[in-house]
Amino acid sequence: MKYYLFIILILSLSFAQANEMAIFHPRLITDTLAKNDLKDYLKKNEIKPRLFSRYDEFMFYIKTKGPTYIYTITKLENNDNKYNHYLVKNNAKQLISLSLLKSISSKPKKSKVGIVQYQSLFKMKKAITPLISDHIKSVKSVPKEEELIPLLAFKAVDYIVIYSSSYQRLKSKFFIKLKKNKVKIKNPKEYLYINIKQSLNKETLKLKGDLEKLITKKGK
Amino acid sequence: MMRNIFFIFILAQLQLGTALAVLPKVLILSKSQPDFLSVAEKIKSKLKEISVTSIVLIERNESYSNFENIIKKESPTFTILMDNMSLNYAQKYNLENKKNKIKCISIMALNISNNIRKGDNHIAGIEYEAPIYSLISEYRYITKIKLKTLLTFYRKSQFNHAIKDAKNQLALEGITLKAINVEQLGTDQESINSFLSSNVYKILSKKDEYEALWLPLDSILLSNKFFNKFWYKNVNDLGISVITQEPKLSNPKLNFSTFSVGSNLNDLTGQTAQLIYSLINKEVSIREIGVEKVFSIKKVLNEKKAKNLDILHREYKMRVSREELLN
Repeated sequence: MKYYLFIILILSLSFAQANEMAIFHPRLITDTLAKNDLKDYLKKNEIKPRLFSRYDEFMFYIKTKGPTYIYTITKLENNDNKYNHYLVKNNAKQLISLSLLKSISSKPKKSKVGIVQYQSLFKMKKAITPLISDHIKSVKSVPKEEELIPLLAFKAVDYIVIYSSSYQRLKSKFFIKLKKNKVKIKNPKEYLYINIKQSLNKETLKLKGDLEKLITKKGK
Repeated sequence: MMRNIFFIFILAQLQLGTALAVLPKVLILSKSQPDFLSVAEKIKSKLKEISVTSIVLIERNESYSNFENIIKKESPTFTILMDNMSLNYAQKYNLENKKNKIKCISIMALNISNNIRKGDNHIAGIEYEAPIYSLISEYRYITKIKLKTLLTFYRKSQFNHAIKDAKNQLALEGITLKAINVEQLGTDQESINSFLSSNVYKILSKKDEYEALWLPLDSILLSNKFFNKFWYKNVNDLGISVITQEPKLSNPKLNFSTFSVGSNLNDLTGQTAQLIYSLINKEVSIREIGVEKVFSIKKVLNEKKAKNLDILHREYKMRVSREELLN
């Protein structure tokens, strides 16, 4: 009996120590192709993928589990676990801004902006300020892209910022008349980072290179 | 040596005191029920970087004078009210203390757009009911029926504002709301009862005039007596698809509503924290906020009922599973 208990203990320990990669992207859950490619690649390399499209859940996981790798669109906040971050790729995913077709004609001096959360709640304004060529009054961030359209419908924001690739999907769900806004997105590129507890070695360099290839292969 | 340590200790205390003094004070008035308390705790945890937050329990039968005492003792910069009673007390307090009004955000209270007194520029809030806009766009996404007209019944004395608002929201999605006022014979329950007795079947049976029935969250219209007498049997006999803002009504065991959305309480805490942040940083005023809709919702599909009514889109599974993943 003791022997079995010992085996179970060892097995559970070895599972706990398996390499895990926490992946966060606001579009990850809906972007099935990218998700499957990435999952397949990681499984082949014996890395257990943990996918998150909600920032809160992602951060909770990072804090409680401290996975070996973290793959995400920003450098890590509150880097208590001392991850080193490396830029994998600046992806040419376009961001666009949308507003109601029948929105007020006189543009406000400072705008209220809606966006999916990808930083802690109170840092979102600071995070998107360099992206937008417009004065921002306040930011409303929501956990899912679907929740941005209601923000426009309720006039809680002047415009929303989304990935251009999400536009058609959102249009199939909401019939509300929208227009692409003139607000200039200054830096439409998206930066993907891998955060690793150790410094770059042969193994982690290969992982970084493979992830780069995976994104390039998938196209824009 | 001892004196030095003592000095450092005093200095540290002073600095701590200054740091605390700088942060604004937020008071959350919560009931002790687990649902409420868990929302209160999450808001407190989200606000910890930007405010000193305390939770004070206020029960269903709390007296107004106790409410007054709490406010005077805590003297908060902002107060978060978590039910209709504390919302009413706060409005009374502001009427009686015109020079010393409290600034509040009301969450989880019912029908607040009707219950926040016009002209009180110190109380803003988030509606507890999930918006009809979200309900209808999510429902349409999984159904093959072309939605043009939605039928509803309402009490004009209490829900006039909510129905006008719903009409505007639905118009954005190209849907007409056919709203029947059940108080045509009077506002008391007896009059509502006689109106519904003679009209509800007649209206519901004209099925070519609407594609779905929306029953709003109203404690009178959805009371046990009315639910059993007017809605449950008719809906099942006539094969009507009902949508509601109460996920429990879409429980397959109940066999009533086809699809429901409710407020996502976890995300409501984030929405509330963002409002407090914007107020502290003077990005917006209470008056500008007014009454906000809840942005984040949870969805429940009663698959059994929807299949029986044969209204599901052929891709609904993909669409539903996607939603489930998102939730």
